[in-house]
Amino acid sequence: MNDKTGIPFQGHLVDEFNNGFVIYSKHSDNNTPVFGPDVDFTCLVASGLQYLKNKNLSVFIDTQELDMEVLSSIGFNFVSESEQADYIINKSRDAWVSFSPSGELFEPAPRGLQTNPTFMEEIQRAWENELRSVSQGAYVSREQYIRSLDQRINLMAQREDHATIWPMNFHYDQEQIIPLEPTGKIISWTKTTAAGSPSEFAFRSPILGGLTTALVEFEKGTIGTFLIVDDHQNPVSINDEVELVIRRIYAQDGWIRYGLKAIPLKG
Amino acid sequence: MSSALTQHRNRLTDSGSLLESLLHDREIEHLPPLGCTMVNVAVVGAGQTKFGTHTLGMKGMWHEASVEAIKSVDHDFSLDIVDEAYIGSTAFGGGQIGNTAALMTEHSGMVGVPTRRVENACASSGFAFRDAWMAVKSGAAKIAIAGGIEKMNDLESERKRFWLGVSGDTEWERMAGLTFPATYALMARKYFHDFQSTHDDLVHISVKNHKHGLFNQKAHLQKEVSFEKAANGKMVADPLSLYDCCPTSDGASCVILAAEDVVQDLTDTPVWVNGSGAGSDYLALHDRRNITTLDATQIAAKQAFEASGLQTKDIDIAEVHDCFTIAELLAIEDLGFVDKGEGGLFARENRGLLNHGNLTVNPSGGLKSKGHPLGATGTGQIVEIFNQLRGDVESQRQVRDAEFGLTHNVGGSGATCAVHIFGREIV
Repeated sequence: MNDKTGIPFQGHLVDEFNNGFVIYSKHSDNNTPVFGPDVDFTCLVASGLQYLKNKNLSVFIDTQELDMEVLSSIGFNFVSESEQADYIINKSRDAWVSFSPSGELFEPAPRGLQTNPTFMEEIQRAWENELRSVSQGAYVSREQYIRSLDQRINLMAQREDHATIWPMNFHYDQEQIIPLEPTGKIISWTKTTAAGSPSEFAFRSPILGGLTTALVEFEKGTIGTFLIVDDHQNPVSINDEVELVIRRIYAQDGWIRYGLKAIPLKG
Repeated sequence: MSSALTQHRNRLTDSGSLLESLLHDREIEHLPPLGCTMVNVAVVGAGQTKFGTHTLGMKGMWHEASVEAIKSVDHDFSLDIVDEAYIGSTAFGGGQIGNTAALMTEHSGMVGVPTRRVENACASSGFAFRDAWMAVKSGAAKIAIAGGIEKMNDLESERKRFWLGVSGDTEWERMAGLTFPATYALMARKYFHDFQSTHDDLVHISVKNHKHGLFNQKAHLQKEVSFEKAANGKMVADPLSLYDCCPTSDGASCVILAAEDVVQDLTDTPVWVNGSGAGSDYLALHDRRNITTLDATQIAAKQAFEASGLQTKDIDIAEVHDCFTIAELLAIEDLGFVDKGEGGLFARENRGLLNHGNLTVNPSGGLKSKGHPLGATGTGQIVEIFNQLRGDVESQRQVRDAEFGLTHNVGGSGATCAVHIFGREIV
């Protein structure tokens, strides 16, 4: 019997046990967790690691189906032998991931939002098409993407005089770097229709009914531009408080770009 | 260090950031605005294709625009006396990214003339004109060509979508789902929130510009639009609808500049360049000081007005960069025609309507109706002012007794801007 169940965390759900926890998608099909429109194992594991909080821990995981560049950027020590690990992470075949020191497998309690299977199939097909797409114009290379991962995933910012700069300028001293808190306030937003979305999102935008993008002001005063998580379910307003969480952004050239998206804290 | 360099450095860095010193009067009044001690420059010829969807390719369009520009010169003129050529283009679609300008000048019979492509997104030819003006103003050239070219409608829709938005911050804005309609939509929503304005104010701008464009034979969308229709357009990026957005157009435009000592040999009706200004800002909206003000416009306008010695009340016509209706509203404020927050009222009262008040805004139809072939838009605006000040446009859209005109050409969502002031007389 688990202790605390259905704890909302970064847009997912967590069930805690005496000796570990399971993090799982809030979407389900007949009580089995299924991935939402922009979530996969990398996103779930990333959130699970952030649920652990202590980045000094060593963790073991089977790296298949995971973007280890993204997960490594969060800061944990990934070890190759389970015996050396403080925590063993087990991926299910379904949309849940178990964290425990012993490797014990925890399963989530049956719950979650019943999804529309047709919608989810269309989204998955769109991701597959997106993965096969190639750029014909604006392009973010893998090297360029990896170079900025610490800013993109960990919100590392630059302190200069009295200003906080994010994304950073790439000419700074190490002591100038500070992490931003992953929360903020919407100062403006827009919802693009399928025709108004960038081509990188052309396969999914029509299925989602468009994309919502917001300008988010951090406590430090700096501003960033972020997509809204699961935007078809999250209407937003100016001054809404949001949390930034790791999600899929888009796919191209056979690989997925991850980054932070904003999730409204209201409700 | 020489005193001149010290003076220049003080101008740029004295007590504050470069942006602050450019925006505000600070140790700057005693310095002559760029180029004002040099020779006067006039536009002696200007021409453009119709903006829209062309069967002609880039070479054909450029040929048509340059021939029209040559024909507009009052006296004998041929391209063999051109010293320099500056051609704006974003090379949309990637058909001819490298050496675009050489291909164009070759095709208009200017082989051998020093030429180059100028790229500053949608402000490419506004900056091409500024570069040409500098060349003539400084005495390095007697005659220069400035122009622009863009071929946008050859592309399939998906490939076109790839290219739209390449001038924003690819890594941080585009990856967050932003296109240019979406970027301007963020500005519009914030503006509505911060000032007493609603989408209806933008609808007035759309209706006005379509009304002006109706009689412009060179306009892409020669049709009037009712308030009701424009208010209920298909959404593109909330709160901006189709009627808030300019079309994607093919087109070319070409302007001929000459130094004062040769002007009278070429024309009896020169249009003088009384002021030039340009500025820049952060590329991404989230890095800006304020998202409802375009600092690049304010910097450019300040320079251009200082150089001309004119004030906003002297301007009869303004061709402003209304890629989206909110952009016109912000331009009217940032250029100084009204105070901050009053752009909505200016639009609501139709104060920019042809011959309705002291200032006519976008008598060509603007980008909204005339069209927006990115690289050709800036010099396309100058073609309009040239023709307006010479009384050469269709009578239904002629601004009465116009003495001075202004052009305002913006790159991207405001990362670059060029402003020029023209007059029938040298000020």
